[in-house]
Amino acid sequence: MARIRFEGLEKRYGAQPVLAPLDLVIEDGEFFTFVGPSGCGKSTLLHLIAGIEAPQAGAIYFDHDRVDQLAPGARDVAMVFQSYALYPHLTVRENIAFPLRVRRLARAEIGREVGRVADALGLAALLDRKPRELSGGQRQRVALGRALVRRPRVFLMDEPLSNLDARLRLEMREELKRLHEAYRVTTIYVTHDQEEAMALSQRIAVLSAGRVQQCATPQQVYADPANLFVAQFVGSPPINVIGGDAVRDVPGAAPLLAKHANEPLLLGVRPADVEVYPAPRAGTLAVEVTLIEPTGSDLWVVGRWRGQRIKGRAAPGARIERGATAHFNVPPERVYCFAAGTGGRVRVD
Amino acid sequence: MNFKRELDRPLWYLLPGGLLLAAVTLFPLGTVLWLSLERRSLLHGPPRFIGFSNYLRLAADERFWNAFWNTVYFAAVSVALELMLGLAIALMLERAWRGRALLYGVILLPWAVPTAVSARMWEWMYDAEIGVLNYLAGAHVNWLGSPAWALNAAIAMDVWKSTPFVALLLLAGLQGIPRDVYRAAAVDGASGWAVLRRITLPLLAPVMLVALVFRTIDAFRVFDAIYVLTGGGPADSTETLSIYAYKVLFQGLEFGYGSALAVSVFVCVALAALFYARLMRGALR
Amino acid sequence: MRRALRAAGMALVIGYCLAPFLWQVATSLKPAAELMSLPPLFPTRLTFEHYAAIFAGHPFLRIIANSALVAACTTLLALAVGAPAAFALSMLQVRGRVAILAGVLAISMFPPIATVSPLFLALAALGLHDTVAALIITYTTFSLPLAVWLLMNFFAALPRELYAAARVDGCTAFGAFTRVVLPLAAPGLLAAGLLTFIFAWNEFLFALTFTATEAARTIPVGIALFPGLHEVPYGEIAAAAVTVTLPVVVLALVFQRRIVEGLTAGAVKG
Repeated sequence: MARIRFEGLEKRYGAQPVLAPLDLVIEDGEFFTFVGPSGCGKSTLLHLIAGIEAPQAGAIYFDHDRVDQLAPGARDVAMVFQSYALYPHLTVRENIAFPLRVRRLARAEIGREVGRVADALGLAALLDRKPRELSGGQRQRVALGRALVRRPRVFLMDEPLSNLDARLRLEMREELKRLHEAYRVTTIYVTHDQEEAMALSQRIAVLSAGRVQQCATPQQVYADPANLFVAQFVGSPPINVIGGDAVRDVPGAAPLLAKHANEPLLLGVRPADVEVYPAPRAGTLAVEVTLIEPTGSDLWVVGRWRGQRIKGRAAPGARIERGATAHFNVPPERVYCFAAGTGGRVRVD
Repeated sequence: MNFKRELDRPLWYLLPGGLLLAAVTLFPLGTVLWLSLERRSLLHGPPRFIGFSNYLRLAADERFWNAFWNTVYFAAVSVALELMLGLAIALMLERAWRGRALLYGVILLPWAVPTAVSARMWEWMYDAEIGVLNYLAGAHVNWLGSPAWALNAAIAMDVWKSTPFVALLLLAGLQGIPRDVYRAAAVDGASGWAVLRRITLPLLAPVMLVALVFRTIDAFRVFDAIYVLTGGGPADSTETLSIYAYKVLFQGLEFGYGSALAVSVFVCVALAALFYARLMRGALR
Repeated sequence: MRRALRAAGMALVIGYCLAPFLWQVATSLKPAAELMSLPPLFPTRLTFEHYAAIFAGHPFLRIIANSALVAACTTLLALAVGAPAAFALSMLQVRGRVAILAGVLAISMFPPIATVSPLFLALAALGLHDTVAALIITYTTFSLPLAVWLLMNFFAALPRELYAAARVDGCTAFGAFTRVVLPLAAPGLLAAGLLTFIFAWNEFLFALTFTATEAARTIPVGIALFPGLHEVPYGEIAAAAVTVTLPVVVLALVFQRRIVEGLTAGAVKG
């Protein structure tokens, strides 16, 4: 168990900054996710925590112990890699036992621990196979087993599910959540999939270009984004963004605009909050439909309004066609406001 | 709890090798440079520093220039032949699928056998009276005994020995060319010769350059083959730079002048390497 | 038609490579009387008198033993010194890595004649003249660049994350090297070992210079300086040549794939 604290943590490759100074606390036993697009520095951060790379400045603390100058083996962290990094020349049993053998545990004890983990993950039948004989999902569980067997202070996971197919990914997601509830080890998870981050984590930090854009619970990040980047990154389908002159005609925008008459603004509203009707209604926008996406549970409608693209949700089975006019209801209380220049959130008091 | 900072210490991994290389290659190289500035003969008196006199003597030494041009001729002809033959063999081998293991093994033999042994084998074949080559050709050429033929005979032997290496290198290069390129050429209706000229050779150029570099440097350094085959004769017609340097050093026991000669070999090899390095950098662009 | 041409070409190549060896075998089995004239091309009767002679009259067995000892020791030492160096250069952060690699490559191009005189003087001063140790030390050093180059290529081909995983699992850098990297690079070790062995077996100039008697003499020098009273004993030389070629033949045939791997490693990728 460990409470993790980052103090001014910085990383550069030569002159190129990869991670801006980071100050953050992760609570003991928390499932914390760093999420962001490729190249935002999240994997680098994980490597710094594991000790695979060294920071240019700053410190990392596990409880009261400073760990950022220690070798990986001395930090008592376990890591699951994106490619699983299973040792090809060892069997499943030997892979899982590896960390214990390195620490010179007794044979009997190693056998016990490996058995315990293998049972927990359903690997008992595969113990004598080599990694190349296993499927992707099985390899993933072996990687998990190798990490679990050590009962580490901190769990690190670098996009462990991204190499699995969609169905398996969802299954393993549940498995991970269950494991976390059972073992309660501080877990730092890294992914580019915002949905995965939202589903698994107790708190997430959205990263972009080496900077934390927002650090909060999934619900907060979704409902109260700190800036335009977070609003666009989190949530699927992505938030509608309306800018330029059309901003004036968005319902409920008038008081906001009055307050910030001098700054150009961007308004955002999530497609899930926008209801689409085939017939006109009071307060709705008339939008020319360019695309419809029936997904079974929803009917997403994409249209052009005042030269901008806008997406909303209709009742499944609603009679809406391409080229026709549909009516989008934008609820004022669900509209977010951002400064056009910085992307920062402009809040309504 | 007190954790120890554990370093990766790459230095320890490099130290043994580094020490060996420094002691056995770099230090002697420095020493030979120093020796070349001395008059140090194991027969006459104590060593004396004489600056660049050895190099002046070298520049005026006819035997040196003879050795130099012999070496250049040897290198140029053998490398050219090896490259052409090697390419032909590689192109032939490319399509071979059966008995590949055996084929590769057989082709490796001339390269794998000690040069000294090969030289004695060929010496026997080259014999003017009872050599099998003269017998089969119905000729009576004094291959190793006439100044006109000796160097070429040595070249022939070196070509026999080294072509396999070139062939294998080029074969690996050929196998690195994607099949689709050939299929596209077939669709475009290109003839075999055109495919070779316009597709295969340009794509093979980098590997050919590598083979060229290795073989040129090896040819400039040649010693074993000539020493055993002809000993530098007849009448110094096969004497290469390394042979001449060796004779001055260990038969004349003149370590000063001999070192200067050895340095000259080093300079030639270095120049050749630099020339190719420049070529490769240009080719990469 | 093409097939027939290619088959003929192949036969030509095989013949080209094998002919001198076959001729040596034939020569070695020819009775002394038939050696000195052609025809006959092939021996009318086979005799092993030359093979007996090379072991009886000369210390040929000792020479073979010397070569075997030198080559084996050189190979083990070169791998023992070269593998950690290749590991550090390819997987650890080493400052000036490019310069070191360029330097190592440059050293591999040294002409042996350039260093043979100082080494001769130094070895004599150390009392190592005409010893097997002198050859082992010099051969190990000069085969290092090739061994390191080869092994680096093999190490670099391993997935990067395996080393990181071993470190995170608790290994020291050396532990990760011995438990994970080395086992997986076994083919590379084999290729490097083979090429080093062949190099040590075949080396001539240093062996010629640093040895004086059969105390340390190796095969290439032994065959080059094969003694003869009046005329060159071609029959015995042929027998000696066949004898020493056999192990090389076995090596080349059994390990041809590894040897070729080693020879072409890096050259194709550039």
